[in-house]
Amino acid sequence: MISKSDWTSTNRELTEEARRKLGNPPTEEELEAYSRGELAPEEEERIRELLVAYPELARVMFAAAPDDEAAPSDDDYVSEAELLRRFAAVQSRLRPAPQPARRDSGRVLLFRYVPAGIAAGLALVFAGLYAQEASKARGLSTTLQMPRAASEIRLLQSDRMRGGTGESIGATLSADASSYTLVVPVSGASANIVDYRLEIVDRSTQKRLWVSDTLRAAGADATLSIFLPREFLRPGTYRIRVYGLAGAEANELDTMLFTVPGP
Amino acid sequence: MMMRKGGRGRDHELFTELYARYYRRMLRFFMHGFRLPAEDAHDLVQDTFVRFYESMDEYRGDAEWALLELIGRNVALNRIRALGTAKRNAKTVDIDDPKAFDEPAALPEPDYAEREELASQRKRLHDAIASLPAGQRQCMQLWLEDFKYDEIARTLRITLDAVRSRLRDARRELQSRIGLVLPEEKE
Repeated sequence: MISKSDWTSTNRELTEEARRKLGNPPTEEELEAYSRGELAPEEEERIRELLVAYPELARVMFAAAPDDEAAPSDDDYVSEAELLRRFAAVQSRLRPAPQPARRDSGRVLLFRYVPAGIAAGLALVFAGLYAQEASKARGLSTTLQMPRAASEIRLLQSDRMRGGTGESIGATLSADASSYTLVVPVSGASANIVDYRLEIVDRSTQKRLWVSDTLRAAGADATLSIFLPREFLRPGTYRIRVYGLAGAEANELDTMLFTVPGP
Repeated sequence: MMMRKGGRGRDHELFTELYARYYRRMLRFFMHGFRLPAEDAHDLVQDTFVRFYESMDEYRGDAEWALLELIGRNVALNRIRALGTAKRNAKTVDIDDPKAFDEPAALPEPDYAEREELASQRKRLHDAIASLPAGQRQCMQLWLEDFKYDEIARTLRITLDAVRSRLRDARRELQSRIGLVLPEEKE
């Protein structure tokens, strides 16, 4: 004889068959639209069949909420002690909820954060630029305290001095408030030498104080001019060595002495 | 009930008050409305209150039960979806409960002829239910899932009278087709 459990089992078979045939349960959006009666008749019928195939979903969606709570004699009654224990458990899971004020002022905060971010970015950029310029300035200051070639100044020797007479003329040193200008003739060079290097050596200590980069003279009878900051040269006598550069070779062409007078 | 209040001032006080006021009702909702075992129901009620707390900034201070009910239904729906709707009406038992496995002795196995007859009847029952008109079949299937009449009406979006009428017709049809005694009617 068929029992009640047979009816239930048979119904389960039917719902399993329906699930296989109909596919996934309805989505939340479909259920909401169905609840509000917003679906077309055929779509509404499809959701209805799905709800029959997924009765646990239907129960959650459409079960009536109770009007009252359990009494102490009911099987679902929760004692005070049990309730306190459950409350302690739920308290440990609570995270601070977002503050309403924060949410309401979210746009205001955005407008505060954006300029602040831009300002911070600009501050970083300017700090970087300042550091870069300060470094340049330090480098420039150091450079200015060193001798340097004055390529824009080229003095031509007088005709008397030309012609390779073997008479070497000395370097001349002129002075202004902040620097000396040393003019070195390169008349002894051969015609195929255009690049030179100068060295300044302290005569008393024989210590090499400065070596120039490669300098180019405008012709065999030209001069090389060097700016010498006053801080670089103390009073005393210095030797200038002139080298002519030909490829990788550097040949000493001439040496000259000049004296820096005392104050 | 005296509960220790703490945390976020007014919000936490309100939460404590609502928890004390609605926990039992919510538990009843999950156990009897959703037919969940007690421990599962407790878990979901706790989840519901946590979700409620996290959305308290949207709470305007009225219709608190309506909001809790909505959150509770969503929590239960998510749980069912997460389980893939596979654990259908499975009974949860406490393994420490000595009565949990106190099953009655199995009935004597039916002989071959009886088994064949039973299988045949079940096949006819299956086919008979499946061949009912859609409206009657849907009502019958939900009724066999222990839905009450008003729950069937809400689920199928039909009137209570339509549920009664369809179930009456379905019983009549099944009885005439297969001559089986139907389970006891309940409304």
